[in-house]
Amino acid sequence: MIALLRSEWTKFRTVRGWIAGSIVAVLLTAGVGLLGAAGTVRSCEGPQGNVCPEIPIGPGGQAVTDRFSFYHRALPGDGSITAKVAGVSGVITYPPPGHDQIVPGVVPWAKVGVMVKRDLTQGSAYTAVMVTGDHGTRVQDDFVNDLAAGGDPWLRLSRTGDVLTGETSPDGTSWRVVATTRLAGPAVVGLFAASPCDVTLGQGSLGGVIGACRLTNVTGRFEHVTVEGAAGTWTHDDVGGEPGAPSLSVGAARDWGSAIQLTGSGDIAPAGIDGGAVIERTLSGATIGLIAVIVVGVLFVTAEYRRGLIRSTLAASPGRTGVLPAKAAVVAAVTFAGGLVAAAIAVPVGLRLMRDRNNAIAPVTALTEVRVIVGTAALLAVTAVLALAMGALFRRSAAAVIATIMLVLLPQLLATASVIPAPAAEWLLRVTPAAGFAIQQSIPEYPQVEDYSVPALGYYPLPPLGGFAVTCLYAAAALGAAIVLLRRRDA
Amino acid sequence: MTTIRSEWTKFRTLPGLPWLAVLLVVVTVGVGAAASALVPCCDVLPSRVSLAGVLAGQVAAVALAVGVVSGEYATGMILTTLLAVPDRGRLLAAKALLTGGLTLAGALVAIPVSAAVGPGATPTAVVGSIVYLVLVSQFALGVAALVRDAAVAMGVTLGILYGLPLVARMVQDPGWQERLAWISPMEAGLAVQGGLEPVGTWAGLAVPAVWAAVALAAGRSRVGGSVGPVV
Repeated sequence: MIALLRSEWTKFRTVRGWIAGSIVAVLLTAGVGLLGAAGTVRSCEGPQGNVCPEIPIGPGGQAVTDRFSFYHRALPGDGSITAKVAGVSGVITYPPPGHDQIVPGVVPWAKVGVMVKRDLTQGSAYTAVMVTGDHGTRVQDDFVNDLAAGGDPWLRLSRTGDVLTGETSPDGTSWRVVATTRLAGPAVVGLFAASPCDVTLGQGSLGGVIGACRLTNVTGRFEHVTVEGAAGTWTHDDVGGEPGAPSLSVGAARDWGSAIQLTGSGDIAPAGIDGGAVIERTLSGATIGLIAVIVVGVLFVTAEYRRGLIRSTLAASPGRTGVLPAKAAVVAAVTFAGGLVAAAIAVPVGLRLMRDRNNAIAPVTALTEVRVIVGTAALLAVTAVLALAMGALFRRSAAAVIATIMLVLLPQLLATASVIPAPAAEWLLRVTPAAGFAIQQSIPEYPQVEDYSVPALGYYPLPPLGGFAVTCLYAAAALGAAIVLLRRRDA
Repeated sequence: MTTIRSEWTKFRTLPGLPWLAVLLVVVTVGVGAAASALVPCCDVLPSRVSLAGVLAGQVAAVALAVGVVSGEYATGMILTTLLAVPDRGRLLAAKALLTGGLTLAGALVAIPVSAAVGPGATPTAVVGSIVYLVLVSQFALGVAALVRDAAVAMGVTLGILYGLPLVARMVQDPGWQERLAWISPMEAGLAVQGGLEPVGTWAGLAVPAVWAAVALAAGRSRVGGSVGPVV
């Protein structure tokens, strides 16, 4: 096997075109992304000059949306808040199909309920028990955690020591504990209302999909509001509210003692697509670099057939089984190394370029960044193996290149840049080798966010490693078939 | 005329090549019909939906053009061809006419049938898509004459056709998306199907036309050069 690997490596490195193709792949992968990054300029001209608004960061390090109407008191130590949500109503501006009137209605993820939050700054830790528009009663904390809790209207949140307990009840007497979280130190406790914008997807003027987000608000009527352990007076604040915001997005509270009516807009959730540029944007060149990789992978085997070298190769290795695995190992290793260099340059340099041009970058953990970089290199390597296997199956370079491009790139193109509707696009990205592009997705999709989670806007239906596994399965199946056929067929 | 006849004879006697013209029709109509079945009627542009098959069908036009040129270099047939037709310009023109004519014939069947099967298409979209497919075949022919190797020609052509729109989608910056749309032969060329306002309708077809002209000119200069080692 070592001898086979050496002979294949010698073939690869001595053919000028293959080395040139591999270098072209690296240059395209890194260069196209960097060009795009250098051209992405964000301008936020305002009264304070060209200063873009900061995107709040949650306790878990994610970019978050934290804008809501909050009617609150101080909570220095232990205490609790209990309330019954007696009614939820709201307003949706310009919904489909006509987008021409303001109608009463509550969006699915509108939320009203009780909350304990560290302080009034955006992104601070919190735990909340809430009633939502369409998703029943829920307990959420620190933006990313979300638990369904049936459909009861009575909500209670109590703190003992640093343990917060969220409970629900159908009648205010028998309580069920849904979740416990931790929040130590001084905090604020109160009622909140938030209503995310109404998301609709439409055809963009440049052919792709664009999302539109239309203002909504929600009004919750609370009864039997009791608070224990709180200090100070009731105060209303629009957390994250901006001066000059449209009047429908400005919150308000009316207090009759134990009954309180609270109106608010906004959302308390992970930021999704509005949380800044995603890091994989610097790797857009990988789709073009992939084509060079495919051509090299195919030629690495079809050139042997064209020049007749395959006869010498098979004469030197009469068992035949080891030839294609050795070729695959060589082409995968070369492509992986090249892809790693390209991605390891493109991501940090591209992010630097984008930050210099005022772009907010959605923060991700170092582990995610490494996964995106190494994953891109691995995706290129696996595609090279798939192309190699296609070359061995077809033995004709043109047919093999077409087949591989149609398997890997055409589904990606149809799913992200054509009129195919989102459900069909998602199936394309589940069952074709294009699923592997999921490994580049750095921000996960959160079910509690009504976001534009469609392939056209960078959301893949499979998890990163799951999608990558689909591509690997295709490559393995093709390589297996090619090995069997190489043994059977006359060279 | 004799040059075209000789090219026609080569084309119709080679296994595989005539099938590509059939494949052009089958893939274009098939993918278009699938898209029409999937897309709920009429909330997106009907022309785009009916003629979605062009995205996939153009691969057959590219393969046809590449096969007409690269096949000869792969087998060494090019030596005989150049002995018979020493005028390189005439040879390339004959190949371009043959490829363009076959693609036109295929498109004349595929596009109207797609429009009939799907929710319908505007006359502009039908005529424009036919012209687009012919331009793509000429572009691919020029690239194939330039690089000679089938796999590389295929990679370069499909890379430019498919790669640029994919990059434009990933860039997500409106200014760059528009710039990329204006250099991408596929996006600008298919603007005749509607839905690409900054490019308009007919003006966009100039983009694949320029790509085709540049590729053919570059291919013409390379065809005139040494044939190099063949086989």
